[in-house]
Amino acid sequence: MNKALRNPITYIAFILPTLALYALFFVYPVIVSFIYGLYQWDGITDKVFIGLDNFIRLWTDKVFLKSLLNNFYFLVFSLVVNIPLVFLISIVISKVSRMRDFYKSAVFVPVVISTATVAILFGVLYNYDSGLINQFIRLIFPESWAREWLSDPKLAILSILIANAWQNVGFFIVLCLAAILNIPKEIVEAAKIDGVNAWNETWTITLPLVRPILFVMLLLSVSGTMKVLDIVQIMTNGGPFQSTEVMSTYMLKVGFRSMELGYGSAIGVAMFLIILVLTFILNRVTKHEEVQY
Amino acid sequence: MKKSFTAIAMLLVSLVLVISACGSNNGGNNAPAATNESTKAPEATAEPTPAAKDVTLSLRHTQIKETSKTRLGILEDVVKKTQDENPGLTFKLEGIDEIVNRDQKLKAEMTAGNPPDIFEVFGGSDLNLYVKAGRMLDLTPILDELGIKDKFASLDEFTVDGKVYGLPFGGYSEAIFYNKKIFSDLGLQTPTTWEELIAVADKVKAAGITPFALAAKDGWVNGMMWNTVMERNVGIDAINKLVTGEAKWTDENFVKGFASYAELVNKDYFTKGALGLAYADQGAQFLSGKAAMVFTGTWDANRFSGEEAGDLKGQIGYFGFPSIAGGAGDQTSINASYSNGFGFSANLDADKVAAVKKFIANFYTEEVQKRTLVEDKLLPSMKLSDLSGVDPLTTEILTVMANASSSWKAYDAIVQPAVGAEVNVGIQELIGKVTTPEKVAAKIQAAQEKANAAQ
Repeated sequence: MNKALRNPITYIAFILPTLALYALFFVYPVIVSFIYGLYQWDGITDKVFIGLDNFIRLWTDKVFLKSLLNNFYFLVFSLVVNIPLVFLISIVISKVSRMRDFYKSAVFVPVVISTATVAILFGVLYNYDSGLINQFIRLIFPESWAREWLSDPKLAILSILIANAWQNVGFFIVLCLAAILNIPKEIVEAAKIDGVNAWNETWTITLPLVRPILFVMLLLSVSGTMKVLDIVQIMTNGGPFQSTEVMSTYMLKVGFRSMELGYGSAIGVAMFLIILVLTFILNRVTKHEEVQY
Repeated sequence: MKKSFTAIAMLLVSLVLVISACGSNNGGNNAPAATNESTKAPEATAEPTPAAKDVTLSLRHTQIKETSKTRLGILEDVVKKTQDENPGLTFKLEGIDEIVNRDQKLKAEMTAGNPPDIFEVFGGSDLNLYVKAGRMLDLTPILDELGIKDKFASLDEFTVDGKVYGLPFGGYSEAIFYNKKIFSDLGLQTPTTWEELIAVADKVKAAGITPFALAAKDGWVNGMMWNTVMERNVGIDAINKLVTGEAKWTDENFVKGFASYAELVNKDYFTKGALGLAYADQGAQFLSGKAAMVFTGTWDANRFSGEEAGDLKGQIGYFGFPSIAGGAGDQTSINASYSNGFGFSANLDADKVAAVKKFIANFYTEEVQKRTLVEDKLLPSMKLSDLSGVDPLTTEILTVMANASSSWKAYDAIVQPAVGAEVNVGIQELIGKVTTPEKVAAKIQAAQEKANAAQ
């Protein structure tokens, strides 16, 4: 077995299929998108070479900049709200011993539901007339407190963020919980003998020891929020008047609805580069100091 | 020598047996014919009658919703009939969502050059693009041969430079459906002028009912009513001239058109929270009696007179959009069009074209059209001589259309797709009350100029 793997031909034979798929479905599209980005093209008739015009247009396209900003809202929301919430809930669940499995499954249920279903479900909840949220508000507060959750441009993105968080925290909680439960009991017990309180235990023991998982969550958040598509597409389709547009929905609209395939490709390339840079920065920032048990 | 001769003879015999066995798979009585083949082969092929050659045609339709069951049934019947009449011919039906087909799948296939053999396609700007790329089969010779060209109500949207590239299977008009019960309860008459429309809407609103049901999440839904308001103000010629630059969105009349629409919005005649609702909600609000009117296309007539209508069955009427005094448009015209149709791939070989001809001959008949009208309430794309058995709402629709002074096609079939997208955003902004008619006009004009320059 060892011998076989040392033989370069066998070695290549094993990795070749993967490499071929990778090249065909990742490397090739990226290169081709970049090339398409240099053309003005409706996708059907002849391409017209326009150099970097499409990429320059990105900088002045208000809708694209708004989409980028919305992607950053997603990112910030997930860093400031989701991840702390995940950590908090995980610690709470790790502290209870009765019915822990029940809680674990309960928080994980939204993850199992498909995003399309979640989006439609929340669409119903947010309905102005008959939605549960507004009905609840009307029950307690005056009528004027009822909101047009998905059609008010100021609220729409927040409404989507909440639905998105509801679906995504479950997965992170399960990750985080596993890391917390993996911390050796001896460490916690030793600390307890030294008289540590709950707050200090969380801050000085749990948090540093689940750092690697926090990093994974960060990475998943960055790539997940930058390329988010389905939930926005179904809940608002970028509307009202493009106030909830994210890069991927805008790319689809430009490319296939307005039939500007060249410009659509340029948006795709921009997305690729933005995610690449963000991931790179994140890698750099979090590389130092590994904590060991 | 002798031995090898026997061997060859054996081989030949077994070959014939194998071939005949294969042949019998196609139809029951092919076996005897196959044994004769060696001797009578030339005659058999010269005979034109058996279309025994296997031809498979892929057919893409979009009738997948619960509400399109009847239309799918009619299509399937025609397909079955055509298959029965032509042994060896098989249709492979594939149904996908209408919007996915129009905006993504078909466009992608057109780009790659591999559309299905037969597919649903929209006339107007979609078709023009595909014709320009040489992807559409020219149907002119087929129509001449079948002699059905004059039977269509209008082939305008499928005609490019005098050649026909698609055939509409139905038409529509867009105007106002209203709840007769609410109207009679409140003592209202159908309005014929803008002022009357405002008065009616005010009374409806005062009674605690939404005047117009609207679901504005998807731009084209808002576009319908806006389109008619705009035509009343500017006239269809002006809209046609936008693409050549002879008219501008920022012209006085266009701005007036946006302002008229904004007036309806600012008086809160539309469903609250409309921008977050999907198209289906619009009909649901109307049918639940929460809204008195809805501006939509006649394709909804089936839904409005079906099971979902419940108590309102037979209580729903249709009237043309009121006239706007001082507008430059044809004040009693209607947005009507025959743009839903079938297109055919330019890649088809002679056998497939022959099969397509048979499909067309069976599908575009008065009988099928009549059936579609009666069962599916789809307005016929062909002139019908017999209109018996048509339900009241459809009769009302046909009357409104017959009384219209002229008809014109929707803006998104005239302006470029990028401009259409900008229009949709602009109308949403008006509905969201975050902008002014002037600003919307300026923004759309900017997109128009860019699109005109790219042509």
